Amino acid sequence: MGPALVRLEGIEKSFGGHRVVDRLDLEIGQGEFLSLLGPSGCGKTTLLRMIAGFETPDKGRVVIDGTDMTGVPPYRRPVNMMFQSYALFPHMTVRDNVAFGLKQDGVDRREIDRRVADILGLVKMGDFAGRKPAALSGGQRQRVALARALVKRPKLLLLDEPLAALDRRLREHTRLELVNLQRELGITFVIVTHDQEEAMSLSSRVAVMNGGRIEQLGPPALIYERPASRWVAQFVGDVNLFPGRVSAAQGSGLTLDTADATLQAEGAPPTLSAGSDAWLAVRPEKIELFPGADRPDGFANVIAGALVDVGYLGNMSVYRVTVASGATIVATLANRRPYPTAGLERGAPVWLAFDRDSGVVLTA
Amino acid sequence: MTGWRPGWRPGWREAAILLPLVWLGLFFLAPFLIVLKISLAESILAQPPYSPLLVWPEGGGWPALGARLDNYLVVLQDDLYLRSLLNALRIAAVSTVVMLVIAYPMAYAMARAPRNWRPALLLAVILPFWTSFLIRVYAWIGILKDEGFLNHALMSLGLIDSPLVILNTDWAVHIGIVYSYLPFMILPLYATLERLDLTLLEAAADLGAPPWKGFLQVTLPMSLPGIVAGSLLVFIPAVGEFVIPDLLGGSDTIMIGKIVWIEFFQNADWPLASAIAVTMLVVLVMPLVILRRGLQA
Repeated sequence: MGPALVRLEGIEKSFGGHRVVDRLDLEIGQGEFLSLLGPSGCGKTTLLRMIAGFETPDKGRVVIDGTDMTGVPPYRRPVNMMFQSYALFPHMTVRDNVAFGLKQDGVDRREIDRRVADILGLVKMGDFAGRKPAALSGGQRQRVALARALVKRPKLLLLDEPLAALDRRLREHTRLELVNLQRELGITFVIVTHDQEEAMSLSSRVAVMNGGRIEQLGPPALIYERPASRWVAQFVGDVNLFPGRVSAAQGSGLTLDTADATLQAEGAPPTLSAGSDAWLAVRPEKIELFPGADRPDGFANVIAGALVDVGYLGNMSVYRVTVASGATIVATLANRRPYPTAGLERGAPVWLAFDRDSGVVLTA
Repeated sequence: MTGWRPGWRPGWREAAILLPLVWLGLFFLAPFLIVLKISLAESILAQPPYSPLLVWPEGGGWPALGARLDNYLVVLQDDLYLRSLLNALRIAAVSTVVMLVIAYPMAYAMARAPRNWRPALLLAVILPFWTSFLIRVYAWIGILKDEGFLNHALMSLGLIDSPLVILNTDWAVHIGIVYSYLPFMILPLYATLERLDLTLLEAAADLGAPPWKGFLQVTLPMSLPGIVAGSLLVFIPAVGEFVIPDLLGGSDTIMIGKIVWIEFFQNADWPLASAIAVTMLVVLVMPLVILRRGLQA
């Protein structure tokens, strides 16, 4: 993270007695691509709107580029926003939409023409400059909205669910373009999304929000591989949770007694000692599945179970396995060989196996 | 088997289009043709008081056409009619602008009011219609006359020493028209402003436009359809208004509607009155036709 461009200090915001953002602190670095990820109602959009200036926090400060902007209206902030609905002016052409921001600043006419043409070229919309928004497709509108928000070269670009209105194929393509554009321009991007895949693939850092607070902040891989809590583990991707009690802890290694097996794990929080309650979180793709009666060798953790259900997804299959405690464990396996795999039929006895460092020990 | 579409059975679409056409034909086109016919006739002392269009020769044969353009020549030559028409256009235009200035902020405030207030506010706008139009215009006499409510209030406040002469002037006519037609201006404006997506104003602010600039560049142009609809809705009937200038205006307030009334009922010159009515219609409709052509081009 570069030097801080945005500093949110002790932000609180309530609507009608309901606390939407709760004592939140956040620093956003220069040139960063940060995602605010969370379920609907977690406060992520409100937070974005407070950075843009559409909402004023009840408590706390919004500092942008070293200046306290807490009470400053949106039209005096060095920040631009791309709206979820795009909010293109329907009575103006693409060109006039993009030129709007520059006109407000009294930029010279020829300079406006040049910059509008440049940015429309950048988003490959140069041929559509004379059209009204109603005559554009969804993907084209998205590009125009992006161009309009970028043309003023803001220090910070806020994007509210920028890809939500696009269909799946276009979304994946646009994701890549967005990342390239951000690198090329060096503008700090803050994006709001409820789509974890989007947050993962776009951002340099992800802030996972829940109940008006940031549950975890870090690079995408850290959020996924080392979630800070059961909530984060379950919200970002799928996870199997084994509740248990610590029977031995030495260094970062740990032994957890669960109803199904005694499990070995690495990377436990140093505060954990024998006797405390904890959960071992294991992602479905980190679990190996073995058919037959022979217990597989070479794994720190092996659990016996029965296959109850197989979901075939083409590139991979999802296996649901019941274990002794009655819990259902999910394992996903890439279909490296033609499906179905011998021995992995419904009702078959199977072994679940994973390594010491495949799971994460959670205390919350 | 052709495709099934909800709400439409074979023939219903045609019937639905036909209905307004029949209505227009029955209550607009037919009366207009009758007025057109009368305007080409000659005023005579008879029942009805105009000459027939077709004169059947005695003993059979083809009828002779009794149409004459004399009445139109009178309308064009006697500058009373031109002056009264221009006067009516001027009074209607000024009133329309005044109504726009009053109605826009009202419609704006209604459109921005909390959602659950809006039906009540809308009702308040329509409520005056539940009293007779004539009674409401008549009530203005009591307000505007020399010893009326307005002068009484202004004098007791010490703002004026002697009563203002408003009644029986153009001022009173303007006030009457603005008061009577205001709801027709408010409703279409409200309809367009209420539909306006507020995110667009947020986008304008985000791009650097303070609220007043956002209003001028987004709200105002986007409410243009409402402005046009409201203005036409009040301007056209105001041009032909007869009751308001008759009750509130003075003897020198000559509006075309009043002239038509005088020609019809005082002078019993139906053909001339009809010629004035047809001329008025042409003057009002032509600009609209040209405007439409211009918009389509």
